[in-house]
Amino acid sequence: MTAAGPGQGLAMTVGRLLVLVAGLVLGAVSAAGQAEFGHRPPVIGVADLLAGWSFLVAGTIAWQKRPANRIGPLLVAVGFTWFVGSYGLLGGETVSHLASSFQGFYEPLLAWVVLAYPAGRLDSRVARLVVGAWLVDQFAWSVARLVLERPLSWYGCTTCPETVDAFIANARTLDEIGPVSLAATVVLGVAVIALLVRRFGAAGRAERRRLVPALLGGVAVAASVATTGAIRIGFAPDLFEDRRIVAATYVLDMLVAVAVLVGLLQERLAREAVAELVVGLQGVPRGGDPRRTQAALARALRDPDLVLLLADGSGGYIDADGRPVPEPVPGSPGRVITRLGGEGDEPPVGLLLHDPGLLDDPGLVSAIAASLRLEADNQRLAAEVERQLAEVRASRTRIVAAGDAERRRVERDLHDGAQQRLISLSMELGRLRMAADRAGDAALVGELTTLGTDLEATIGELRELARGILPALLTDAGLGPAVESLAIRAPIPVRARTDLDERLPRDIESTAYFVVAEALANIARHASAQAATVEIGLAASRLRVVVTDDGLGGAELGRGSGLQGLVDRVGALNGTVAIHSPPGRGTRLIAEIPVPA
Amino acid sequence: MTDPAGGPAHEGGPAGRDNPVLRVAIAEDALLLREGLVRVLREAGFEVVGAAGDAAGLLATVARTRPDVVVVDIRMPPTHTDEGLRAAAAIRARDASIGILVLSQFVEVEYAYRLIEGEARGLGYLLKDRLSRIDELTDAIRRVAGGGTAIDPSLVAQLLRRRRQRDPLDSLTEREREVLGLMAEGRSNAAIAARLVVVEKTVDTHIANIFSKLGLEPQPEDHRRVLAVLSYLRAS
Repeated sequence: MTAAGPGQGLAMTVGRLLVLVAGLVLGAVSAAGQAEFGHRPPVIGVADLLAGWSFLVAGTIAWQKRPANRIGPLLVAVGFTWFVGSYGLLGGETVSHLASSFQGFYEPLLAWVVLAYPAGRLDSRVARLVVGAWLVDQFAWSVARLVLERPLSWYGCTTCPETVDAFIANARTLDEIGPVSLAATVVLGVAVIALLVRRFGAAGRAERRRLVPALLGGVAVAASVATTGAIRIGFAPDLFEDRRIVAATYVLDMLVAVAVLVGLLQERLAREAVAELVVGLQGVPRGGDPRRTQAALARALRDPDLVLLLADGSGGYIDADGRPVPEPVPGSPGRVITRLGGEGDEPPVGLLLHDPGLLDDPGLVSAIAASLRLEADNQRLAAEVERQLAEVRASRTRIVAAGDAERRRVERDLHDGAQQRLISLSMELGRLRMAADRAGDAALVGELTTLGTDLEATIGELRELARGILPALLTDAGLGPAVESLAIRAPIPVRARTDLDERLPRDIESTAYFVVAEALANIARHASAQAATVEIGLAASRLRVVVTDDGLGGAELGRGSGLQGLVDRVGALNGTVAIHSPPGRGTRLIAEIPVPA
Repeated sequence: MTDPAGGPAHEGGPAGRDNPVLRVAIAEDALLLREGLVRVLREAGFEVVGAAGDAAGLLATVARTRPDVVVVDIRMPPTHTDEGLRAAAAIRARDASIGILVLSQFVEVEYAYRLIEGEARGLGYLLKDRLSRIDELTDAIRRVAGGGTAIDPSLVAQLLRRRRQRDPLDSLTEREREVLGLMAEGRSNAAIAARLVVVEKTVDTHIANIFSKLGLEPQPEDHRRVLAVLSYLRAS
């Protein structure tokens, strides 16, 4: 990412310092020259120097703190060009001529700063066009001055009459070019202001506060264009003689330099943008809308061209619209790729294609990456837990279903095997008894009768055993009759009402049945109740079983009451069991089991 | 026929008296039990016209032989649930004169009620436990053959045992409870009188008292009376 090697960083820092020192020295020397040869009061010269220095210092600091942002070097360039005009006072005629030809470049450079602030990029084509055109205009004018405004000494002899014509011709041509160039400069200056105003108009309140340095810069540019223009067309050739105006423009320039620097250093994620980002990150990369995330990231990082690519899980990437895209290769101009997540050998959860300017703040992109990764981890863990939970639920359900199937099988085996055999035996016994009766053997009849009674009792016990395992009536006739049968057999009066139109899935019926059976058994054992009611009904795709008694109350789930088994069983079907049992005021047990549509 | 086990005197209907050899069809899926039933019923003087292992076989037998009575197990292949009840309903729908005795392994009021709730005449519900008391089996067959109703005493006992809040049965005397139980089993007044060793007029008085105490409409016909009493007892 952004972290350059420490040696490299140091070298860059040293380089910037050298540039700064060079600029400061040049500025100082030119100011000294100005003081020596100039006609301006010293205080103006000092202000001029301070204004230039302020651009140099501010630019160097900005460059150092936000190395990838062009505003820093641009400010430094403004500082250097600032002094160009003054360099003309430094030396001989040639230097003076070069300097006076190429003065004024700080204007288009400052316009560049103003339009590129704060990202350091010229976002729109119009802005690029305006800055480019201005530079061209400035360069053309400078070259024209260099060529046409040759000092007399260049002609070999300042007093030679034969060169006068050429000199005059030059001056005339220059006079014709001048207004054209100036008009272009004014138009471009107005365009800069217009762009700035449009941007300001479209900005929200927070954004407007951010744009204050740019606005100041715009005013400075306008003031500069106006003053130099006024001088150039000779409208007010003595404008720079007015100390107040000169001092005011220099102070304004200093303000611009400071404001741009401070604004640039204060460029941080706005609070709202961060909040939006956090919201936008929820549910990404799984489930959420990646387009929303991309938009949130673009807003938070102030990079409208930002692209978010998400790993599709099989080594490829999809864009925010879900279209598969080829993996981007590093090196496309003006874009850098940041991997999101995927420490070590793990593949990244996504890629961020963004402006290199964002790397100014190394913490920013890594924070974004970390939060995306966190969200991805969070979702992966949640999905994992969800999957395990579903597995456990399914296995619980399977265990209950397997248990029921086993009960059914045992009950069937009892019915088809032992019970039928015992019944045939008892029937044979009956035949023997009749035979003995016919034979008049009263003693044998008596013994066979006793035996028959025992056998009947055995059959009865076996039947009750089978019934406890799983009543055939439940399988045959369903929940209503089976619960009614429980009610009839209960040792206390039980009123049962089952309101079901149709049969339910087996495991739900058996679970509801065992809820009622266990609840009634519990009431018989512990509640000292006079009566109980059972209500079973279906509402909103849930089977609701309510067993109420008027006994002692104070019952609790899972305290060896046998009710814990119910909770487990109902839970296996994703149902719930609740119990309301205030001491002395009866007990109400409510089981709810979802019924699949 | 005498009653060596001290059970009720048999009370076969007119068909029983006029035509003592009753033709019986059997359906029972357990082979041992089926064979046992055939043998027992033949020895008891019935003509067993067919013995099937499932409901389909029974319906075929009934269509072919038109028996007086069908003895059918509730739980038979293929689903082992209530095939017997459904076969009974199918037979009755075709020929209401055929008496049907359903054998059940379970003491479930639901089954008995489902059997008789439309029309109790000529229908019976007997627990298989009862098969050791051959006389009770033959008695039940004769009763349903004669258009009577036969409900297993243990089922009635279960209903009488049932706990109720503010139970109107509490207002009955011991003897009246006995009479009520016998009514629920489907016994006629004469049979009740014989069982309790009282004259029929006494039974009439008991029955009138019971109906009045329970707030029931008097039902002159035995099979209607069974239904009314069972419904009453079944309700909580």
